[in-house]
Amino acid sequence: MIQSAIDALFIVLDPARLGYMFLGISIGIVVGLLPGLSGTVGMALLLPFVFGLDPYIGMALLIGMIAVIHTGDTFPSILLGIPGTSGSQATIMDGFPLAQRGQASRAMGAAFFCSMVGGVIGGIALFLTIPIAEPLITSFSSPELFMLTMLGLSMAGMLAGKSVFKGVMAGLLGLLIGSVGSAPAVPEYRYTFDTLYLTQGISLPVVAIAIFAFPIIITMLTDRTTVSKTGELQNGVLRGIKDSIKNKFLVIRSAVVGVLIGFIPGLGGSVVDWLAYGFGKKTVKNNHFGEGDIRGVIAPESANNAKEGGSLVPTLLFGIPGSGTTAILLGGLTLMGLQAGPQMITSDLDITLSIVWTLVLANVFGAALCIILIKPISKLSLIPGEKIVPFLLVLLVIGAYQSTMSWGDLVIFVIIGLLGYVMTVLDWPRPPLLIGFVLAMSAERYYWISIERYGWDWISNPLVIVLALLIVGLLSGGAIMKKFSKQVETKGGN
Amino acid sequence: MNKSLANILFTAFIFILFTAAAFEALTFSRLAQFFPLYISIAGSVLALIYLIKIIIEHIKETSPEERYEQLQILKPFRYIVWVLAYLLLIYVFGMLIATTVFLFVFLIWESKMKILPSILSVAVMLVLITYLSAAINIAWPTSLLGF
Amino acid sequence: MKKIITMIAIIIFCGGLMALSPITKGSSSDTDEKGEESGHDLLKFTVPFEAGGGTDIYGRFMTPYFSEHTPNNPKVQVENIPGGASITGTNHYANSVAPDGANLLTSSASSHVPFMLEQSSVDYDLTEFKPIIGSPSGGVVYTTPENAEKIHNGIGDMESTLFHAGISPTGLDLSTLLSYEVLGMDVKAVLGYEGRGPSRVAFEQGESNIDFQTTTAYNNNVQPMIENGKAVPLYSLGQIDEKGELVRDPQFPDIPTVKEVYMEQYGEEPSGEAWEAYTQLINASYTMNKVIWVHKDAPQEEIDKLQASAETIAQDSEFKEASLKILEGYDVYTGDDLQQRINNAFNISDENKAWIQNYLYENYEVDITKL
Repeated sequence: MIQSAIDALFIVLDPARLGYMFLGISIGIVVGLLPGLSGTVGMALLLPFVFGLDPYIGMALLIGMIAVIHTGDTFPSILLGIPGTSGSQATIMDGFPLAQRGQASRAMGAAFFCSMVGGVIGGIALFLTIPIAEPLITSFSSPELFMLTMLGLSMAGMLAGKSVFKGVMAGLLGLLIGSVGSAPAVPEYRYTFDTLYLTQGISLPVVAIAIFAFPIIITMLTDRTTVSKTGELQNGVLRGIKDSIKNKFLVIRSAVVGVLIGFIPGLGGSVVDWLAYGFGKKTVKNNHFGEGDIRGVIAPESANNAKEGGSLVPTLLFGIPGSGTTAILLGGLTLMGLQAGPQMITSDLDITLSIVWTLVLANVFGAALCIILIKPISKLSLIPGEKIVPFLLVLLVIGAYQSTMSWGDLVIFVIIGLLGYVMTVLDWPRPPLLIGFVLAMSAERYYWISIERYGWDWISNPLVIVLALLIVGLLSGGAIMKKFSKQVETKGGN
Repeated sequence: MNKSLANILFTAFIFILFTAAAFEALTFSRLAQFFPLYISIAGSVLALIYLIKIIIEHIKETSPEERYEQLQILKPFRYIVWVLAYLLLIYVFGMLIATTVFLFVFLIWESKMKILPSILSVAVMLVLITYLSAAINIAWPTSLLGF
Repeated sequence: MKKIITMIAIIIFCGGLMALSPITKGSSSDTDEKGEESGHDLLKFTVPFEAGGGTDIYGRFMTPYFSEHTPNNPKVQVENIPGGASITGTNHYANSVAPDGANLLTSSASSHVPFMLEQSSVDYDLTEFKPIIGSPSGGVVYTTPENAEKIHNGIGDMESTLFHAGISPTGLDLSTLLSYEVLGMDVKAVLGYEGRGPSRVAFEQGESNIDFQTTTAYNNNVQPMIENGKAVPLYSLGQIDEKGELVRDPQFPDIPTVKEVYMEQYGEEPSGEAWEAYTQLINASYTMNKVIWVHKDAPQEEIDKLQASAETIAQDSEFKEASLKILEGYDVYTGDDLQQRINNAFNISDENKAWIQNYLYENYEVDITKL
């Protein structure tokens, strides 16, 4: 395997293929950077060009793009408080407060460094899990997947902020919004008010940008301020990188969470940043997550890049896409004459290994490129609200429209946006709503399948019990877990 | 309006929303019903309890500092109207015209920018979105006039 | 300030956008070589799914061949209109797209079956479209070795429960569920899985013990399980020939069809309402799995041109070779043969329709006329 890995490296380093990888990287960064354009959009626009390409070149292009989307999407999350894609929502929680204090560069330095490390860990994880993928994936049947969605939902409770009432209600509201559209157990449409638009459910990118971007836009206009309240920019890229190194165990822990969540098909990768953030919040001592703690940036950023490596395992080996992006990747594979399946680690092993290398290299180059861009781009946080908002609005409208290319997207954008604004003003936490929304479908699906298939017998599955204990542990304060967390990390942060 | 009152109104709205969703869920078939019904009943009960709690707090004025925190109404409303107006323009005239008009008027009126810089930045933005649409097939919202 | 805005905007976009230019140009280079002949310069395939799915890949796979074989070598573009499990896009094509012969529709079983069963959200009439080219797909039902043995010993004597992991009773699962009905197998269908991939994993986990996969997925993912002794093929769903008879699937010449298994079990040919409903559905959802259509009221010479190009595509050896690898490897149908098959597939008697609607309602609590 090592020998083939080295051979694959030389395949990837072929100048023509490297060129396509850089092309993929630049597209990935632009797509990540523009709010509303997600990996799905990026893949959809590359798909017409991969038809008939040599698979190595095509994969260099596609994987190059996928690898860095969650690197580029950090810019708007930290600088503007608007998620670049739905995978970088949790970065806002602490990244944006840091930018308001003029520490955008530090936050971004840490974020990009962690993205890189996380991405590389994801690539290595992909490489290492190839031989043991099958038993791992088949050990998660529906009851276990249901417990995992419950674990995700309990994270919503953890991010509820001061008022538990508000948090739980926001989570329930998210679950309700998520149940719009087709029911999993029976082909029946719910809450569609006889519109065809709503039959496919409300799309995540619209909800994610509406609920964060809309309030920010209005607040920036009413307050007439710049993002950086201090009106100055501190230079802190190196400090950010040092912060990350100081918190190396948090980086690795979060990356592992990212890989695992990406790895498990059916959960959808969109909650991975929240999960990592929640775990970080529970396991880091003396933290002030939510008020501008650098470790609140490090945790989700390490996880969201690592996720991509993990999610390629079920995609390539089982043909089960974990997200819209990997779904299109499967289509791209077909167009290049490849099929997902066990042969990806036998007869097509060299392609799989070239994907691993592309993932690792693209993450390194992507992060380096972003670090170079920090200086010019972070000036955005010095521009007064009323001068930047109209331009942002144009981009957001275009971005929101890309979800299904229907006016329904824009109507939902306004409705959810207004809801988000009121919630912001009245201190209702928004993360639980998003988590509820993302997990609604899986929660219902796996609950239904578990009951229908096993009755209540599944409650006694060993893995179900382990997950249940984990949930109880997390909800009951996590005081025990904190004891185990490394002493080093208490000195991190500021 | 003060914050505490606004919170009561919003919670009441959430309560109505959950309750309506619960009633709507009753019309679904058995298999489609259980999930939204559980959720909306739980939400509706919680919202009611919370509503009663904050109304009592409001009457007792237990937290005077929050009670007197006034919320801006007009200002946010004005900007929400701006957003809606922009969308309406797109709907009627299409992306290019709407964006030109909206950006230009907003920059002059709200941002108090000079004419020349405004024209320049609008032009840059237009080139940008045209490029997005032409080069990488980013679709624009459709309009009544068809472009 | 605005200088900063513009500066930043330019810096950000330069890299990515510049990079994109070459590939977009590359794709359009083969378009306007000769614009003299009459005809469209641009053909548009409406695909009622998101990019990347099976139907989308089918449409995209066809684009270069249509470009090559149609007079005037038009540029061919795919337009995705997702939503409503393909109903939204198909409705859109029927009602809002100009019937000028330059706009085509790529449809799949997800549009065919709801039309056949008169789902209420369907606002299109497939008989108003002219089929240009059509491709079949196939399916194989497989189970665990123990259950396969029990089934061969006699379905009537089976005691253990069979679990089928499926997506939705109105999708492709319906044909398989009806095949159980025909054979009199007692199978508990657990529906609600996200896709065929997850349902296959459910089989590997033991969460289900009978499953089916379509041709490509079967060859890639089930074949290895069979080689490892973890699965045994039971029967193929079969194909409908031009006379309306169920025959062996050309991709699976060695696997018996439902019909043969029935004859082995019961010693007579299958018949009755369930059997008629089954063959009807196999025709509409497998034999006519993917079809590219054009509006019937498009100019006749455009329709002729498209049909002629479909004929030459079907003969193109390069196309045949590529379709082996990328499509499921079946021969495509064109011309009168295709029209005849389409007529058979969608010509369903009122009794059969009512029987299927009732079957769905009784067994799966689905009232399809209300969807």
